[in-house]
Amino acid sequence: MRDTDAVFRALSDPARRRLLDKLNERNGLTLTELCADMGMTRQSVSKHLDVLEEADLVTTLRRGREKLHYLNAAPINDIADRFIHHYDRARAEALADLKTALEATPMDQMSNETSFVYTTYIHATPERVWQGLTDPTFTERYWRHPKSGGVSYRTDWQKGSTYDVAYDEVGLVISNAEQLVLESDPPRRLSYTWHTFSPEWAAAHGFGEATAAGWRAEPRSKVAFDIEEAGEGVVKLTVVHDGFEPGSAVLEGVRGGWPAVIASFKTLLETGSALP
Amino acid sequence: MRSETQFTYSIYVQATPEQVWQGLTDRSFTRRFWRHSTLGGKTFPTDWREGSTWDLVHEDVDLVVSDPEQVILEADPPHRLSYTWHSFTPKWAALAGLDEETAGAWRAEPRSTVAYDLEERGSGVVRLTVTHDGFAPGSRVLPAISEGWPAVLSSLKTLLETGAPLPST
Repeated sequence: MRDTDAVFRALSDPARRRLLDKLNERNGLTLTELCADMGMTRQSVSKHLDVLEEADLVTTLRRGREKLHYLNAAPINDIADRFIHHYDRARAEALADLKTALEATPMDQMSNETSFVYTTYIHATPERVWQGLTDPTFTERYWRHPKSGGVSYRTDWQKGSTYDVAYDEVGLVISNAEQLVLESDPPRRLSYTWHTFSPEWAAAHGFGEATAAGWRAEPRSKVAFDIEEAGEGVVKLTVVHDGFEPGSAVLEGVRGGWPAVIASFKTLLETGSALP
Repeated sequence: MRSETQFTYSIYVQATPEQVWQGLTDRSFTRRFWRHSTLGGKTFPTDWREGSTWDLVHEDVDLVVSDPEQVILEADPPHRLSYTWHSFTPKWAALAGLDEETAGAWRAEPRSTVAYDLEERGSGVVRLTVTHDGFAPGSRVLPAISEGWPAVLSSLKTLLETGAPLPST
């Protein structure tokens, strides 16, 4: 049973209600972000957060050196269950789901993740999959960003060679001595270090310089493609993108991007047209 | 988000949410793309209503797996579908080529749950996310289903986009 008194006590203070409003507007804020325009010391804000955490209204999650704060609507939901019939229940339930999601994922595992793995099966030969991953006439069709358009890789794909990433539709080329082909065993395995997040790259992709600088500060990651025959003209393609540090923001970014890129690649090879 | 007690996989399919829903539930689709190497195609006879039970049927080998705990948990066509996973009966294990020791260990684990979320992404593309969870840490079922899902979902995508599933692997 929750301590309803603690919840009401926590809600009785306007500063604490403002903190909850802030989290309701944008979840997962740091202490520094929560302090913005509160007009009080960091220490006072921290104390208010302790009261909210004590009442179970705020849940925290460590991410690297930062502590992120999440609104937990469950106690309010419980009170609503008892006292209020017309309440925005869908929203409260969505927030309660968030808490469940946070609880369901062991926090140490979440922040310890340092790689992304994605497997798909494609109706194609290994040679064609290799060509699709390396040949600009393929990559620029399926490997696309809404702002910068199609991607092509310029290199001889020899182990130890450097590569350039070109976004021809916006006239952008990213070169860097550390953009290296690490392994090249056609048509079975290809691996290279990830490209640099230069200021020009960030601008062309609609990322702020602060975000890009954070990404640039992380160690350079690498990607490997394994191409295996899986019988009857089917290839198993496994993408392993690793070399991230726990809590990596780049990892979160590539985790969202790979399934869409690989899905469009599969569609292009199987139907002759990439995903729209 | 991966963790040791669940499997998550997203795939983008050029189709309507209704077509993806049909692909996941309709016998004429599932038996074509959702195939087991020794058991053949699967069908799921049920009315797909919340609270209903579902059967797992492998028509090619005359196998029916029924259990009152095989239950539809959520059915909100064409957005979200969720059900508890099927039982690993001795007959299923024998036909699937699973030894009784392994099947016994699988059976001793808590029953897992699968959920499908279908989301329109514009331009006639749907993102299908499969979340298979409810596993205990150290589960032996989890690595097996993690191996199976990418092949099943890759074949569903190919079937919906080209009219034919992937050749059986």
